[in-house]
Amino acid sequence: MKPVLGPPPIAYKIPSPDKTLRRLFLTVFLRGQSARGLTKETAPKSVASKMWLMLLIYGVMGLFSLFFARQPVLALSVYLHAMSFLMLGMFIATSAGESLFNKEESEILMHRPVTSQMLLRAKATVLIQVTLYFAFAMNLVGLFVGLVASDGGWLYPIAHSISTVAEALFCTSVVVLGYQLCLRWFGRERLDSVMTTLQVLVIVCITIGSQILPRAIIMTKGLSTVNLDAWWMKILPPTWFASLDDAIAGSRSGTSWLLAGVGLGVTALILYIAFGRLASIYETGVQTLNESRTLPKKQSQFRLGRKLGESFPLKYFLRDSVSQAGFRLVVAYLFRDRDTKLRIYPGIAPMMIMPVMMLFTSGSFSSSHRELVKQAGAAGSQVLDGFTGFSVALSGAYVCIVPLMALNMLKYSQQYRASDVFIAAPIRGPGPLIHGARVAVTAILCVPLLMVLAIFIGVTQGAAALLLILPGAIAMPAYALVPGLFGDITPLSSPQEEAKSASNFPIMMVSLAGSFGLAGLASVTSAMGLLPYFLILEAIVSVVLCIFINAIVAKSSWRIVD
Amino acid sequence: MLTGMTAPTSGTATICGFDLLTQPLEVKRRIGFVPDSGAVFESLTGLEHLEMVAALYGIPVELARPRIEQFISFFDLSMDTLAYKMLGAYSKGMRRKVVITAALLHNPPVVFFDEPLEGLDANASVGFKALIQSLAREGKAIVYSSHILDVVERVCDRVIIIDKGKSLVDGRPEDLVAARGSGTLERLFTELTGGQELERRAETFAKTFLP
Repeated sequence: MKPVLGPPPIAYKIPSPDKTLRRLFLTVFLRGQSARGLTKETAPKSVASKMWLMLLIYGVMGLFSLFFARQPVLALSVYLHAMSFLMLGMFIATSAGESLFNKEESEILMHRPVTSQMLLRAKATVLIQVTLYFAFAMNLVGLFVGLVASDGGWLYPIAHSISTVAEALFCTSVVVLGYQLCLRWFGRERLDSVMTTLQVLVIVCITIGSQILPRAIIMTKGLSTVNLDAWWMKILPPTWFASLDDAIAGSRSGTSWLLAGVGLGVTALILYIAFGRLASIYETGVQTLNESRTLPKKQSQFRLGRKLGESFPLKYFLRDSVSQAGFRLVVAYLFRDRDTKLRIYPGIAPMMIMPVMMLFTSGSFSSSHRELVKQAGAAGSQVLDGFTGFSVALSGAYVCIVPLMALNMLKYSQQYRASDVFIAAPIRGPGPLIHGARVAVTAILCVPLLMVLAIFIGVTQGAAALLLILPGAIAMPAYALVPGLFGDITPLSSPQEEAKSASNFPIMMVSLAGSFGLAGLASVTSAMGLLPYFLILEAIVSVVLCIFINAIVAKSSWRIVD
Repeated sequence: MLTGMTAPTSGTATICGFDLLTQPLEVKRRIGFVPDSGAVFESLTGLEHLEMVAALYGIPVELARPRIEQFISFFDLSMDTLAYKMLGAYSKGMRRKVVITAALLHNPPVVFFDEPLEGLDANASVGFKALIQSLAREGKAIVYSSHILDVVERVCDRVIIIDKGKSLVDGRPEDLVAARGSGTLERLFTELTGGQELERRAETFAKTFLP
């Protein structure tokens, strides 16, 4: 064999490294990092075949744009771009960390003849490619609504497609730039923790925003009631891209052209900085992955877990050493592991915000319809009180789903192979470990959440309303046990690719329906003055269920390792 | 650092006359590297992984395929497994064979091996040791990093023992062992790195297991 230092004979087409890397990263995205259980034949061949359920959900979300039929292009586009911005931003923010900084990948590629700029470009291209699928699904209905907008027409689909691509470029380059700036400002050592915290915050904010926006639109009957001339609207990126639609296919006003220019200019500038000027910083970050890093003493969450686990009252619930070990492991991962944090906190954010939104909705109901309802007399007042009572009870019931969701998400980890140590240990099954994990999520996530909710409700609705949170709190231990009935939820024991599947969807739907039912019963019995009896009955049922499910989970044995 | 995976803080290095800092791509085209982690893209098949690596070196698939087949035949792997099974499902030894193939596919003049024998079965290890000796005889520079010192003693012409970032000795293994009268390279290593007490400490430690 001759050394391959120059180009091969002309008869063959020389492969382009850029194209090779793009194909590689798209394949890895489609198949997942580990592709456990997949064969070449069963692996998804396209983004659409892998993400069809997500695309369908996004498509359904796009139906909200029908609220804007016959409204101006600008109002429709502001809504579409705001929703796309939230969704694309969330997807890029969650995917970018794992995609941009992967230790194993750097060991495979960094010694090959490819530059960090090539890697960054290829990864960003794949991210943009996938986000455009989501954007298309979400904007599909909107494209047709734009055709019949009051000042719209046939140019709208073209204009909106261009502005959506520009928005995807903007979102991607902002996230990449965010990583680079953090790397520059905080240095190699603190990059991981700083970026994780930022990512979690960004995703939680975006998740909360995505919950608020559709409700706000329904409550205000579309953005027509929002002043689009307000100064603060002009500094929001979705307005810039919406203005591009308006400039090409809407009012074509001077302000729209100006804002569209700002949007395109800012996007070009950020693209240049992220992929040009600061691209070398990315190389530094990737090289950092290959350097060993010691954990500062103060960050020892495993020690925090031990202290917590040995303190009252948790000590009572964690009487055996295996449960203690499960508790400590989960506490450490909840505070330390980037992937766990990125999955858990944004995952439970909607459960935190939805109850608050319900209360605000009931507040809005009160303010806008109070007079009408009062005109209906005593029956009207009962409806108003019942609605608020239901909202309070539902907020408590929602929080009680948190351990169920958290346990389902904690099952997945990049280090799932390490869970073999559980199977090798002389433990009959995963029961005690699951119990430890359950106590950890209840103590670390649910109790603080419940306390915040109680304060919020106490302040906004009065102390008497606090009783209505109790049904949720009482049901929490039983809810936390439910995932154990439907399969092995040993913490950190499954590859994280499986977390993207829709297998947990039915359990979640049933749990949410259960919460609605529980809140309904609580508010009805409260209105009838029978709430204390309901609480006693619920407590008895909850204890019986806990004993029953606990017995089943405790008897479960290890699943066969493939 | 020589593979371009970690950034140097100071100093210079050249490989085949190319400067590591100013001509990193020229350097990378001339080196092969087998990392001790044996990292691969687990969601690719072995063949997809190797063809991807070949493409990064500008080797068209028509040229890469016969080379891959040569390595597959040498390592006694099945082409069916390589073409249809994801790397995530490979055994450690099979994965290591793919990583070694990926490092040598472009026929580099300089090859870095970091614990390359880990996971290889006995026959593959023997074959691999013979291969690197043949490659060295053909004029390739082989940098072999390992803690399995009896293998190092057998396959290397020159040994450098580094402890806490400092080069302690540098020379032919037989000369180094003879100069100190250590008997073996392993014993020389423990003498130089302060591990003389290890056997006694192991004995004392083992006693703690007695009932």
